[in-house]
Amino acid sequence: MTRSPDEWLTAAQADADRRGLTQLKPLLRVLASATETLRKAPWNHDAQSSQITGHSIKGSRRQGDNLSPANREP
Amino acid sequence: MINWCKQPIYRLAQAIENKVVSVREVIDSTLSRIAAHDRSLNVYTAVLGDRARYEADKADQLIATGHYRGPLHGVPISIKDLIDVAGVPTTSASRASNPTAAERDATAVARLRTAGAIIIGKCNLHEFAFGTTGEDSCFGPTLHPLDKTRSPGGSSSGSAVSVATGMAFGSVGTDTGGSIRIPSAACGLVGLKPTYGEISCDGVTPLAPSLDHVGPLARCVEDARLLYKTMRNTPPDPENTALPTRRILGCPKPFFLEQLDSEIRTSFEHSLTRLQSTGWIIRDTVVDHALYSPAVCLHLVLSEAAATHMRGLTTRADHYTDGVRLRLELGRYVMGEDYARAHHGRLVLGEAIDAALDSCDALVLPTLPIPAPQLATTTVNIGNQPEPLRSVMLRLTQLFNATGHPAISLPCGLTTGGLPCGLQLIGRLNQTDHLLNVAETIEAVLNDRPRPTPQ
Repeated sequence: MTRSPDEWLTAAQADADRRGLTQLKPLLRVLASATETLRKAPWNHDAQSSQITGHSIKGSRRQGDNLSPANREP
Repeated sequence: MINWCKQPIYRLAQAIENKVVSVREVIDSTLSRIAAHDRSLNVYTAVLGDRARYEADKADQLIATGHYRGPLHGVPISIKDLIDVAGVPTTSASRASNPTAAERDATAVARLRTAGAIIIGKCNLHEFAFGTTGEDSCFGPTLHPLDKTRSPGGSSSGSAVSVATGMAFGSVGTDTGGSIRIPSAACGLVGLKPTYGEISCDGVTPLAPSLDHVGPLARCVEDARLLYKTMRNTPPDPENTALPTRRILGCPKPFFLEQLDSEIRTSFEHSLTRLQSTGWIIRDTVVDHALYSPAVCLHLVLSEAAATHMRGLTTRADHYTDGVRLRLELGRYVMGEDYARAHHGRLVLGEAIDAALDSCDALVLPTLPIPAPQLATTTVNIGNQPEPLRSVMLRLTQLFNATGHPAISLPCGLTTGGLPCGLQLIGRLNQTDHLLNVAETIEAVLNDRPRPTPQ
């Protein structure tokens, strides 16, 4: 299910109310604002556009490419 | 008479090796300082006094028989209570943690012990390392040693204060968004976040595994280097240990220098001027897309923290402090597609940092945009714009957790009220040794800047 940040915020706040976590509502507004910013970032891919958006990622592996527990072993 | 508790490790090590002071004397004097100051500052969650005295006597016997183990032999080190020490519960400063004793040392702790270090105790922190002040802790807040109405920064709050006050000679902390560098800057210490993965997180309670780093808090770069070299997984690459030859620092002004407390800005600018007067070139540079770094980091840390705490939130949510629980719950609302966007963003930002580093030895910026904040502060005003304290404190550090670049905070002066300011250097991936060389050169220049004098 894909939602705009506004739709997401309405649903998330209703869920927070239902769970008795009303103190979460101001934090959800902050997150919605950050999500809106993130979705406007110029690097986001867009399958509907033939134009290449954002940055090209070089072939080198980077942190987060593998979230396996390798970092947790000596 | 020399007060050993205020000396750097490298100086203490010479004294121990040359039998100017015994390990037992060092441990006893450190424990005396803890007895005198810990209660008022709330630094330690556990003091391992008996064990430390026993190990001190053994360490002295080894020296007497000609078996000196190196510069950490008999040196008292504190450990953030998020990191396993065998036989001691890892509380993570939370009632929601597992209360049973750790069966073995974390890999980083085991390496320190093998090198001869003595673990003096475990340090208070912001609950589960998920905060920047050290205030949310089941043990109560750690207080700033220069002003008890202020936070020492976090989440490695106890670690920083233990080193700043002579209750340990160095400490091991963790850094997921700045948790080593922030308290180091606020307390006038050196704090190193190495390249991602260089020091094992084995035996460390995770917060956000793709952002978590282990590293040292110390009184000087040489001590930080010693602790880092002892704890890291791999031997140094000889190509990365050269001294800086270009003596060029890149200063990324857009985004990073736009919103600073005026006294932090003054201290930072004085430091740059001082560096320029000794031949360093300071070049303006840009980290493309840095404006997006708070949004990227927020989506990464919230999602991963909610995942690592899923069981705790399901079975004992009311055991967390309110602030930490709410942020963990918030992570459960992040959509998968936005986590994917944030992950893409970290790669783009990593390349942007690489590009900014192309023409210089390191990037230079402040560590904290504000001095140590008053306790119970939730918002701060910089340039008349109110902003959540947490966002402000993370602004200059968290990006380098997302990209994994090594970063170090150095003391660079005091505010007019006597609070420390921190200068941060960023190095290339997998070139932490080179970053330490740059930091040592810069530390030597900035040593004439005023330093804090805690009790």
